[in-house]
Amino acid sequence: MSEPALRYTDVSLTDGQSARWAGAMTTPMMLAVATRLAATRPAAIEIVSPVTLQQCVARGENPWQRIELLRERCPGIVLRAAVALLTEHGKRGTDVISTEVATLWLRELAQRGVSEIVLIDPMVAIERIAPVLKEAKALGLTTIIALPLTQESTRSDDDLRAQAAALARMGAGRLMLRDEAGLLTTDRLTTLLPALRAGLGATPLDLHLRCQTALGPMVALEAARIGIDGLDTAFAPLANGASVPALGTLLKSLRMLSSETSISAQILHAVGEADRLLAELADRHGFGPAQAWVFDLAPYAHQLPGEVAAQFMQRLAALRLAHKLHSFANECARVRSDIGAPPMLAPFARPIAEQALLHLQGRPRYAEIRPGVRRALQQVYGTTSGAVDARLAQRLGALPKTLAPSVASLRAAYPEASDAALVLGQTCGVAPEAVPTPASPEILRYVATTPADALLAGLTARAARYAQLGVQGPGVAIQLQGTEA
Amino acid sequence: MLEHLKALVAAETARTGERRTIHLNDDTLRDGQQCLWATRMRTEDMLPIAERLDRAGFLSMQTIALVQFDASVLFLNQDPFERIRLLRERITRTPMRGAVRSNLMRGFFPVADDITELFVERQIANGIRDIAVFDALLCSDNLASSIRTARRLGANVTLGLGYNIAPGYDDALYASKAREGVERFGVQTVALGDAAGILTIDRVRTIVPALKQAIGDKRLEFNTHCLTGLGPLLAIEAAVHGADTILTAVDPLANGNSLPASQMIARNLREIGFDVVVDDRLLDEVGEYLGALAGRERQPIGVPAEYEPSHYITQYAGGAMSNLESQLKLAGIADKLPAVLEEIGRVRMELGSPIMVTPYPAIVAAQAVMNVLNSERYKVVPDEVKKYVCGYFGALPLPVDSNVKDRVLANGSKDIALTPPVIAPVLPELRQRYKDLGDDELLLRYMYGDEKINALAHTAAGDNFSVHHPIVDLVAGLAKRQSKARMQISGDGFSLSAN
Repeated sequence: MSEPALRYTDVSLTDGQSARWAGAMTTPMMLAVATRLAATRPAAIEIVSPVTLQQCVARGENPWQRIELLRERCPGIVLRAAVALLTEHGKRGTDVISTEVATLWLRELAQRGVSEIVLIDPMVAIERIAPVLKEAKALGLTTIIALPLTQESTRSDDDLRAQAAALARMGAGRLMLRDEAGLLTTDRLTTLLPALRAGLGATPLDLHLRCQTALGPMVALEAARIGIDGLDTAFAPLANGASVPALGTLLKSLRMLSSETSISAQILHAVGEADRLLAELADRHGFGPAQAWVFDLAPYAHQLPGEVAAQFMQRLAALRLAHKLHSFANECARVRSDIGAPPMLAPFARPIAEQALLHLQGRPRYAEIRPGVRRALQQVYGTTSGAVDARLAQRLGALPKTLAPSVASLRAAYPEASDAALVLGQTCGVAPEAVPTPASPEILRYVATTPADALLAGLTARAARYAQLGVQGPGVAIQLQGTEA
Repeated sequence: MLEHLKALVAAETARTGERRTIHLNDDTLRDGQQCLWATRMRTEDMLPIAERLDRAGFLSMQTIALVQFDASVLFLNQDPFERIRLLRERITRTPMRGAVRSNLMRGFFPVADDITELFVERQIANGIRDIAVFDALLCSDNLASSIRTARRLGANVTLGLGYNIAPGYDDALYASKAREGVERFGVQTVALGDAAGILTIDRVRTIVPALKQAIGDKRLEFNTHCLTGLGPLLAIEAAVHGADTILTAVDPLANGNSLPASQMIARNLREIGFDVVVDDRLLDEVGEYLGALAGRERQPIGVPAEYEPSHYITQYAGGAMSNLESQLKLAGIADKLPAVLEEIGRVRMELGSPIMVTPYPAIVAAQAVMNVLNSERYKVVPDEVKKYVCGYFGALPLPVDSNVKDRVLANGSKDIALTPPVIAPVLPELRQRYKDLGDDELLLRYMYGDEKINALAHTAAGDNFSVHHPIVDLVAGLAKRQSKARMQISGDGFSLSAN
């Protein structure tokens, strides 16, 4: 059999649903669609990311159980996990995941059948990445190291090539250029790809790009044409906008442009079926419709990644500030510059957007400083490439260094908790004893409910919190009597 | 990208010593509703926003073209000239533009100059101040009489050049046609029109400067559509590379198959260093109205398109494609569609690559079907193909393949003369037939027949028309009253009291 035209990895269950459905996809929903996703024969399916880990725990679902059940549903398919070395939750001591905890994390993933990881350190700190990479290799995991894309003015093609070369020398299995703000253009791609190739030698290069500027599908096609080894895609209802390009459109376009025969009609049919199933799910649960975003220059200024961009565009619209998009974008850039120009990824991007929104709404600049901005200013995640605003830094003062807890001390502190729970404690910032327990098969069975059903169930479950409650909407009228607590 | 665009504009500003102003032309009432609502927007629904659009600062407003005449009479039972007059009463500062589709009227076959001239004259008489002329073959002879009439009556003339992807349609061809428009006809504006939204970023960067250089100090207008999702970026690139005016539609009647959004283009152009004079607040008010109107009329609003390269390959408009499919199905040869599509590409090139707008997709497809069904290509030649080759539709922009031309002339109907006959004037006979009628009605009766025109209804022209529920308007009205008195209103199944 000839090489497939495109090696695609599905990220619908992680980045796709985070960016398009605000992370509303539950474990039962994922289990209900998994077989259909696997039938499209992707190179891998990404089943967990730092963001979905948090969403899962916040919803009272056990992420390890989710991984185990997805493993069962997708036989023969490589499962991928994204692992980040910086956390967003702000609990002191675990802002940076230690090599020891990262190793534990990787081991828990490997034990459950995950065989590929994307290792993300937004600051590309070699000294943090190298030891984790070594442990990942020892566990037999294929390790893809993330190389975040930056605008040319911040970091030139040559700089990125040097970074890529350093990561390849370290022994990365693959490298992944990650353009989480959707800033790549075909112009940049034509100079950047050859530069990265030159730096990488034989190490394969993958691409993860978002569609905030609407150029994503075009850039992805161009990347496939001039040669990329792997591409992250999602199914149509979970693609475009702040998510990655849609697989179906991409395959059809490739087939048309290159008379590519290795894209079979069966695969296209399977992709269509998965698209349809997810669209039905979206319709039933009132998730947003699949829709591309309009091209705008603002993303090149705010550079907000994936779901952060999605959330803040919604907030601007809700606050009736959409017409101030460019002011907001420029304020994001200014705040970012004030705090030392950190990469626009977690844990930096969301606090920067929050701070910029405060300023946009007329609060005096830095009258209030968002916690994440505070942490970035205090350099708890490491030293940023740019200079920190001296007055702000002076105002906050330095933080005493807090050592990351060792695994032994964690085990001693939480003797009842499993290693899997300890990992969640560190990555999600929750107490290990508060980690949700695995659910019964009955709970995990997907039941098609309408938003009204879900609302009624939710309100009934919270009946102790109110005396009387009425909900009126088109086609819905709910009157409830509260119960005594 | 943002920094690069800013740098280009800053360099220009430094060179010329002033910030360049980019003007927007509004196309909401003509092309926006044509692309998204199949041209079904009623005159009375346009009037409540006409004055605000007029005050919004557009350089001109496209209000009507032949498609709007057709839809107005055939589907809405409204008099298109009345629409022009009612809009003109409210749009007093911004010149309104009407468009003429070459010398083709209804039926897509060339008509006599006297009727085309009357069509231009009556648009101007009713309030149009700018006439846009367009010929799909880029044949300027076809436009001469329209342009002459418009200039005689003091209207501005905009020459539209349709963008086409085909061998020979290079920047030099477009530049020469633009130059001809300025030098031969003295047009004030040249508009590059990309009806199918198939321009690419690279091409914008060469064709826009080429056109601008060819027309000197005349205005260069840029018009694209958003079928690939690239429209807004193409418009921004066009402005940076020399376009003076961008044709836009007010969001939410923008994007999708429609034009880039006025609000978005204005904000982005300002962001990179241009001046844009439109009033964003008024545009948002108009947009809010249009969104509510779409809801009431159950018409779609523009949904941004996902990039798909198939548009560049077929250039075969959605409507023409579905027509072809259904015709093949009727003839029982639906399975031949792939072969026919391939043959369409070949025939199109052999016939000099006409721009695929009506009537040319149908003419090319008719020949392609014959070529697929018969053992020998061009053995059977449809009449329209022979007429096209013989110049009945005008001089062709690129020559027909000489072998193909020989076969078309040999195998086509002998009843079709090799030289197109002179088209006799029709007005003398029309004036004889409709002795007591004014020119507007005479023209409409010529175009659409007596039955349709007898059925036209007058437009109720109240500007207080609202897209909201009447009770919402009532409450809003009461809230505005200064008086603090108690209010009690009751009606059928309804009572309202306010303090």
